[in-house]
Amino acid sequence: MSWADASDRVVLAAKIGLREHLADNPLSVTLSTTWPRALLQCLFFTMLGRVIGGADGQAYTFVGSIAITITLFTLVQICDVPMRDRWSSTFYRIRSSEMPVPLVYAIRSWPLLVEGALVAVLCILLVGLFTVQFALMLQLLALVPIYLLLVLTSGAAGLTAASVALFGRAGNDVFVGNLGQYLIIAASGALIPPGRVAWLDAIGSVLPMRHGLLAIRSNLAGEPWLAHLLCEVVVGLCWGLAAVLLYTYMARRIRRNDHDKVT
Amino acid sequence: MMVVRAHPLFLLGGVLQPSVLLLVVFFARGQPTGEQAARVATAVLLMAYWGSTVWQGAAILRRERLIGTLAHFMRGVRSPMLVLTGKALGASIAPALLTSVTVAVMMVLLRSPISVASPGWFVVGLVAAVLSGTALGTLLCSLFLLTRFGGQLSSALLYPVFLLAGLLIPVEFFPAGIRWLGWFVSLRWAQQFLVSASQGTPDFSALALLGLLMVVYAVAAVTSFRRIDHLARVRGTLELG
Repeated sequence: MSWADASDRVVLAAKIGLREHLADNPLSVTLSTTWPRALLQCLFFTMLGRVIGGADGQAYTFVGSIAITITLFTLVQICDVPMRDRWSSTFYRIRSSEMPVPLVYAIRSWPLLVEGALVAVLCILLVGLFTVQFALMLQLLALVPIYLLLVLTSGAAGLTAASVALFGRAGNDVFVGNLGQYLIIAASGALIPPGRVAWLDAIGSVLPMRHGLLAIRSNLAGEPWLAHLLCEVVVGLCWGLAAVLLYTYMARRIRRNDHDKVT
Repeated sequence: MMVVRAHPLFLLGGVLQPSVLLLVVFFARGQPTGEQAARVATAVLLMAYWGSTVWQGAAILRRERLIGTLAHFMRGVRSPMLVLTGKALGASIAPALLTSVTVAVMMVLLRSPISVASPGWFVVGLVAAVLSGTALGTLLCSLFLLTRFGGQLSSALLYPVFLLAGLLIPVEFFPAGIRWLGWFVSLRWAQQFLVSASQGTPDFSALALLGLLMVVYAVAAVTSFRRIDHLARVRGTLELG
């Protein structure tokens, strides 16, 4: 495949990804249901921090709630991307294409990654305004690039989760995506400060978000933060590699045995 | 166990969500005690229960349409409203039981077991919450049949209710102008009654408001289902297959 061919295919996959996304989530529905839900979830966890720990608690959970909100798109909704092929019985076209299966799904997921990033910025602005945290809001706006990294690393984990959903029992897609989100709520340090529960810390260290959030909090506190950021990159790359291996293995197994429910 | 195996989403709403919320409240804040512990436990119980009702109960008719049995369902010998009520009740009871067990076990594991001073009235409150959820599930599943974006609507309904009902976050934290909206959310009164029953001083005005809202939800459910029936069988503008 020449470079021109490859770039054409990438553009085509991106266009199909957008069309599929808009067919299932028209802009009017996204703006009236999905985004308000995301903003209210961020507001809920931010205010929970205020109930739990006053103004300091609210500032702590505000930083983490934005990351949790990103996972609505990069962990929960991203499972729909490969699942659409299962629902439409079109996976055989994907696995027989010249482009690698994981690459097709990674490209098709781009609208969700963009949505996750946009909603993160909206959360910083609107929830920051509603909860009267103007100074923190401005500081977080300067740290949006780190949140963008979190979109990518959690998206890699989401694609891995989606591969499990795609080749597992029907209905697993919703379960796996939400399971990932709840694990991040509990163990990423978004709401529960690291160091309080050892087993949650152990789980969190291999999840996306954890190190990125540490980088954001260290930056806010004026402490060194690059090492945390590098850890987040490594964790994201590991999840991305896991996704590549899982999709490749499953697609080969289906091609060889031709017995899977995914056709 | 069979229900949980058949519908893994029960695990999400019935086990995972309440467990994670309790972990967050306990480990981010520290051990709540007495009335605070009862308030947290009932709030998490009702939040998880509401989530399950919206996801499971409200999806009943959409599921019938998805598997191609909605037309038979609407034209059956038995009244479809009766069958729907039975299904909605089942979809309410299963998550309510699972969530109650999860919350009770988690409270013990977190070394903060709740003592219920008026267990009889506490059970009455739980039953009223389940019936209210059933009525609401029936109402929502009729409404969600009118759109193919029921899933998005279900998910959009979660957090406004969590916030307005003042379950984990007291309504005093919100601007005065929007607090009154919480009056129309039955979970608010359910929690008020359950907490008071656990303290041995049942708040019967909260129970009365819970009952009143349950009746309102039920009347709205019957009305909306009749509308669905009319659209499908008289006007023929609602696809059943």
